[in-house]
Amino acid sequence: MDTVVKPQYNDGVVKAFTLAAIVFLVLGTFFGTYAASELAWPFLNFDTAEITFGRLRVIHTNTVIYAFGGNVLMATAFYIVQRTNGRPLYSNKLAWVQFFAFQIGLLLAVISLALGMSQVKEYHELEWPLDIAVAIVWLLFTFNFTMTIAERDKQKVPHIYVANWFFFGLLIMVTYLWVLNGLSVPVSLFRSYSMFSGVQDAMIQWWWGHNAVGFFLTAGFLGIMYYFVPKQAQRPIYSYRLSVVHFWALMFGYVWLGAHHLQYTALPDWVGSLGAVISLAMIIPSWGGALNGMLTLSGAWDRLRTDYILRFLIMSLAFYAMSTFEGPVMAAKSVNALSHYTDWTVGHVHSGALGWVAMVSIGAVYHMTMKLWKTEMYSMSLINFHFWLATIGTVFYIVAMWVSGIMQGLMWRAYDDYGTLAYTFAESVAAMHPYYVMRAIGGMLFATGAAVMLFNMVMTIRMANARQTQLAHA
Amino acid sequence: MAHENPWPNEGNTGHIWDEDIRELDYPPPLWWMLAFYAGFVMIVFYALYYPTVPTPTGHTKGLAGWTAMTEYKDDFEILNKWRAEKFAAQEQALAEKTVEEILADKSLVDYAVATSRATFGDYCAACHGAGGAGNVGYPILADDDWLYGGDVNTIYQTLVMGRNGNMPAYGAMLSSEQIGNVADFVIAMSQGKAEAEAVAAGREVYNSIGCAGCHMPDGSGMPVLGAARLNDKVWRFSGDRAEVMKTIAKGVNATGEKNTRYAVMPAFQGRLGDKEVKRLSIYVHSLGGGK
Amino acid sequence: MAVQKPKNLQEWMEQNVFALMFGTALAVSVATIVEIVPLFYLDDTYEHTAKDESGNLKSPELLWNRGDKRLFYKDESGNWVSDWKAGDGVRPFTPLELAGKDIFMREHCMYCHSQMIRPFRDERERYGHYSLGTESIYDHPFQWGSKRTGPDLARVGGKYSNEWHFMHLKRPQDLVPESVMPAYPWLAENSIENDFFNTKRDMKARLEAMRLMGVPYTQEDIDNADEAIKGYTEMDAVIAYMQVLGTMVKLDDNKVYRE
Ligand code: HEC
Ligand code: HEC
Ligand code: HEC
Ligand code: HEM
Ligand code: HEM
Ligand SMILES: [Ca+2]
Ligand SMILES: [Ca+2]
Ligand SMILES: [Cu+2]
Repeated sequence: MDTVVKPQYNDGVVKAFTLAAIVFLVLGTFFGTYAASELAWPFLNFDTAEITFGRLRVIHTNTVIYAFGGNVLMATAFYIVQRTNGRPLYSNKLAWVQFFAFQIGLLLAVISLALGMSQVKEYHELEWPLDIAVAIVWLLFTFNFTMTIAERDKQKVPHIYVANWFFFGLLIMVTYLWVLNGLSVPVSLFRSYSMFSGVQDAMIQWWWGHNAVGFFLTAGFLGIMYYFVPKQAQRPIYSYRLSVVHFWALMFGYVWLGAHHLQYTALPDWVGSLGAVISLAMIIPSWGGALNGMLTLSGAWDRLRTDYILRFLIMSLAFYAMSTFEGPVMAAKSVNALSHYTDWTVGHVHSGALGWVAMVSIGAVYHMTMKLWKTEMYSMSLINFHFWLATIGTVFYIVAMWVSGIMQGLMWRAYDDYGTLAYTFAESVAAMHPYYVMRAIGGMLFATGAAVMLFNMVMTIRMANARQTQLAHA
Repeated sequence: MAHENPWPNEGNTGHIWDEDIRELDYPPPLWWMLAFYAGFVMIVFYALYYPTVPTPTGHTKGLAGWTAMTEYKDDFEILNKWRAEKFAAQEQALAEKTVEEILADKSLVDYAVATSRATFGDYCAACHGAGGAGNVGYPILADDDWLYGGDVNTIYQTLVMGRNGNMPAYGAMLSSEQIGNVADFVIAMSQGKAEAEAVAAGREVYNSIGCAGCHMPDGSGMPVLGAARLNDKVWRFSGDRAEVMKTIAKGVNATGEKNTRYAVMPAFQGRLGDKEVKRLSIYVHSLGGGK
Repeated sequence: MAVQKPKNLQEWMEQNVFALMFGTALAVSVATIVEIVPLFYLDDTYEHTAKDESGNLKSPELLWNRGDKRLFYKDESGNWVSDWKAGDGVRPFTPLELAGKDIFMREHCMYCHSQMIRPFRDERERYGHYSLGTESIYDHPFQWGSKRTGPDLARVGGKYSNEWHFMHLKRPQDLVPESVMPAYPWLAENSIENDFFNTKRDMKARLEAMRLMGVPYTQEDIDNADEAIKGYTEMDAVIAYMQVLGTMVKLDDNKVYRE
C-alpha cells in the first residue's frame, strides 16, 4: 500500500457539480437542437410563447454557458484547487451553499427567461434579482477558491499551479464585467433598464460580451486544460515559460477585443480599429496555449489510439486553435463586413463552444468521474461512440454555418448585371433552409452524444455504489 | 516532496503538484516567439495607419486617411461609376421623363423592369406577394383588375401618395337582414345574375342607400375612389357571403369603426425617391400586363 | 526547506495569491480605461454633439428641439396626438412605444433582427440611410443586435401599415411564405396594461427611471404615462414601436454625419 498519507479532499461537492454539469449539458444541447430545428421548421414554435425561437435561444445560451459551463468550471476548479494545493477546500460548507444556491438560481433563470423576463443584453439576460444572486454566488466561489490557495501549506506547495492562475483570471474578470454591464435601474421585480444607452451601452455590453467568451469560455477552460491534459497524458507540461507568457498575454489582451463586435456600427471608428488590431494580435498568444497543450502530449501520441478521453482533450485543443484563428480573421474589417450579422458568427461560436468548451469539459469530466468514484467507466466503447457523435455533430454544425453564413453575406451584398441588388432578403431566408436542416442534424448528433455520456456516467456511479455496498457487507 | 525533484534530468522547473504534475522549462518555439513579437510590431503599424488611439480631445487619425465614411463613399462611387458607364442614358431618362414617356420606350421599360425586381421583393412583396400575386387583404397586382386603374400614371400616383380607400360602415344603418340581402345581390352581380328576382330586395337597398354612388348601379366600380368593381369574379377581400357582409357592415378604413377593413397602401416617394418610384410603376404595370 | 524568497515579480505572484489577484486585476483594467472612458467624454461619440473645426455643432438638428411642445396628449376627440412630427429629430419614446419595446424585449426579437444599418452601399439600398449613434441615445438598453436572421428593423417605421404588422405578427407565413419568424398570436389578446403575472405595467415608474438616466421626460409626460397606454393591446404597443423606428430624424444622403 501507499505509505504517503493522502490529503482528505472534499469530493462530495465536486461530484455534485460534475453531475449537474452533465445534466445541463444534455438539457442545453437539447434546447439548442430544438432552437435549430425551429429555424429549419418554424411550425415547431407551436405558437407557444415560452418556446418561441427568441426566448428558447436565450434559454439555450444561458443553460449551455452558465448551467453547463458554470457547473463544469465549479467542479473542476474545486477539484483542481484541492489537488494542486494539497489540501481540502477552505470551506466545504460554503461550497455546498454555493452548489445549492447556484442550481436554484439556474432553475429560476430558465423559468424567468421562458417567461420573457430579461435585460436583453447578450449573455447577460437575467433580470436584476437573479443578476444579483449570481453575483453573490460568484463572490462565494471566488472567496472559497482564493482562501483555499491562501491557506495552503507553503512548505509543501510553494508555487501556485498555472491552472489556478487561469481560474483567477476568470473569477476576477467575470466579477468585474458582470457588475459593470449589469448596472441598471429596476422599475419592478421583473424589469430593469440598462443604466447606459446607445453607443456607450453597446461598447460596455460587448466589452462584457467578448469577455464572457474570453474569460468564461476560455480562461477557465484553459485552467481545465492545464490540469487534465498533463494528468491524462501522464506527461509534464511542455513549457513553463510559455505558460507565463500565455497567461499574461491573455489577461491583458483579451479585454480589448469587445469592439470587434461593433465594427462599422455607430461606434466611433477608432474603437473598432483598436478592437480589430488587438484581435489579430491575439492569434499567437491563443495558439501558445494550444501549443503548450499539444506539445505536452508529444511523446504520448500512441496513447490516442486507446485512450478515448485523451482524444476528447486533443480534439478540443485542435478546435481551440481553429476558433482562435477564425475569430481574429473575422475581426479583420473586411471580413467582418461580410460575416457580421450572418450565420458565420454562429458557426464560429460553436466551433469554440462545441469543439473547444464542450470537448475539453467532456474529457475532464470522464477523467474526474473515474477518480471521484474510484472506478473504471461503465463502458469505454460508449466513450468512443460519444467521441464520434460529438466530433461529427460539431463538424456538421460548423460546416453548415460556414456555408450558410458566407452565402448570406454574399447574397445580401450581391449586385446583378444592372448594378441593382441581386437578391431580396426573403430569398436569402429561403436559401438557408438546407443548411438549417443540416445544422439541426448536427445538433441532434451532438445532443445524443451528451445523453450517451449521462447514461454512461449514471451507470458508472451505480456500479461504483454497488461495489461500495458489497465491500461494506463483505 | 516538493523540494525533491524526482526527475532531475528532465529539464523541469522542479515544481511538482498533485503527485505527478511537473513542468518542463523548454523555451517556447522560436517561430512562436518571433510571431509573438511580430504581433506587437503589427499593432504599432496598424495603429499608425488607421484611426486607433484615443486622446484627451479626440483620437489619432491614421496615415491612410481611412474612415468608415470614406470607405462608404468610395464604394458608392465605384457602383455609381459602373452604373454610369453602362446605364447613364437609361438612368438619366428615368430621372427626367414622366412614367408615360418611359412606357413609350420599349428598351427603357425593359431596363426599368430588370432593375426593380429586388426593390419590389424587399419593399412590396411582403404585402402584394412575390411577383405581385396578392395576399389576403392585399390586392393582386399581377392581374388586369385594378381598384384605382392600371394605367401607369395612376400606378405612379398610387406609389407616390399611397392609398387609403374608404367605404363607410353600414352596420348601424342597415339591419343584418338587409345587409344579408345586399350581400346576396353583390354576389349575384359578380356571377352576372344581377337581374335575378331572388336578389330584388338587395338590389333595392343597393340602389337606395348609396352603394351605387361609388360602385355604380351596374357594379362597375369607380377608380378615382378606389371603389372596387363588383360585377366581376375578382374579389378584393373575399366573395364568401359572411365576408361580404362584414365588408358592408364594417366598411373599409371607415373612421370610428373598430373592426373595419383596413386598406392602407403606404406612400413610397419619401422613402425610395422619385426615380425608384417610377421604376417600380413601370414594373407593376408590366406585372398586370398593362391596361 | 523554507519557502524561497521570490526571484522576480512573476515568482512573487506565484507564491502570493493576493499579489496574483492584484496583478490580474491590473492587467484587465487597462483596456477598459482606454476603450470605454473616452466614449463618455469625447464629443464625437454622438453625431449631435460632434463639432467642426471652428467648434460649432455639426448636426444639432438631429435632436428634437422640444421647447414647450408636448410629446403626447389627448386631443378634443380623445385621440392621442403629439406636437412632434416624423423627421423633427430624436425624441424620447411615448409611453405606448416604450411599452412596445418592453414586449419587443420580452420576445427577444433582437436576437433575429438588428437595428443598426451599417454604412455599406447594399445596406443603404436595402434598408435606408446608415444608422446614427444619436438615434439610439434614449435607448436603454440599445437594440443594435448581432444577428440578422430576419431583416434589419432600424428604419421599418412607415414601411408597412399597422394592419400589415398585425397580420404579420399573428402569422408571418401568411404574408411571407418563406419566413422562419415565429407567430405571436397572443400579443393581440393581452392588454398592454398588464405586466408579468397580471401585475400593473407601471409606465410612470418606467418614465421616471428613464428620466433618472437622463431621458428628458417632463413631469407632465410622467403624470400621463399610465393613461396613455389604457385600452391598448400588446400588439398595438409593438406596432407603435415598429412604426416609430427610423422615422425620428430626416437624413440627408449628401451630408456626412460622421467623420
Ligand atoms: C403595407 C402593405 C403594402 C405595401 C408594403 C405595399 N402596398 Fe400596394 N397596396 C396595399 C393596399 C392595402 C392597397 C389597396 C389600397 C386601397 O384599397 O385603397 C394597395 C394598392 C396598391 C396598388 C393599386 C392597386 C389597384 O388595384 O389599383 C398598387 C399599384 C400598389 N399597391 C403597388 C405597390 C408597390 C409597387 C409597392 C412597393 C413599393 C407596394 N404597393 C407596397 C398595401 C401595400
Ligand atoms: C364612399 C364610397 C363607397 C360607398 C358608398 C360604398 N363603397 Fe363599397 N367599396 C368602396 C371602396 C373604396 C372599396 C375598396 C376598398 C379597397 O379595396 O381598399 C369598396 C369595396 C367593397 C366591397 C369589396 C369588394 C371585394 O372585391 O372584396 C364590397 C362587397 C362593397 N364595397 C360593397 C358595397 C356596398 C354593398 C355598398 C353599399 C351598402 C358600398 N360598397 C358602398 C367604396 C364605397
Ligand atoms: C426566428 C427569428 C425571428 C424572430 C424571433 C422574429 N422575427 Fe421578425 N422576421 C424574421 C424573418 C426571417 C423575417 C423576414 C420574412 C418576413 O417578413 O416574415 C422577419 C420580418 C420581420 C418584419 C418585416 C421587416 C421588413 O422590413 O420586411 C418585422 C417588422 C418583424 N419581423 C418584426 C418582428 C418582431 C416585432 C418580433 C418579435 C416579437 C420578431 N420580428 C421576431 C425572423 C424573426
Ligand atoms: C482570439 C480569439 C478570438 C477572437 C479574436 C474572436 C473574434 C470574434 C469575432 C470577430 C466575432 C464576431 C463578432 C461579430 O461580427 O458580431 C466573434 C463572435 C463570437 N465568438 Fe469569437 N473570437 C475568438 C475566440 C473565441 C472562442 C475561443 C470562443 C469560444 C466559445 C468564441 C466565442 C464567440 C461567441 C460566443 C461569439 C458571438 C458573439 C455574439 O454575437 O453573440 N470566440 N468572435
Ligand atoms: C447540440 C448542440 C447545440 C446546438 C444544436 C446549438 C444550437 C444553437 C442555435 C440554433 C443557436 C442560435 C443561432 C442563431 O441565432 O441563428 C445557438 C446560439 C448559441 N449557442 Fe448553441 N447549440 C449547441 C450547443 C452549444 C454549446 C455547448 C454552447 C456553449 C458552450 C453553445 C453556445 C451558444 C452561444 C454562445 C450562442 C449565441 C451565438 C450568437 O449570439 O452569435 N451552444 N446555438
Ligand atoms: Ca388587381
Ligand atoms: Ca449574437
Ligand atoms: Cu468577441
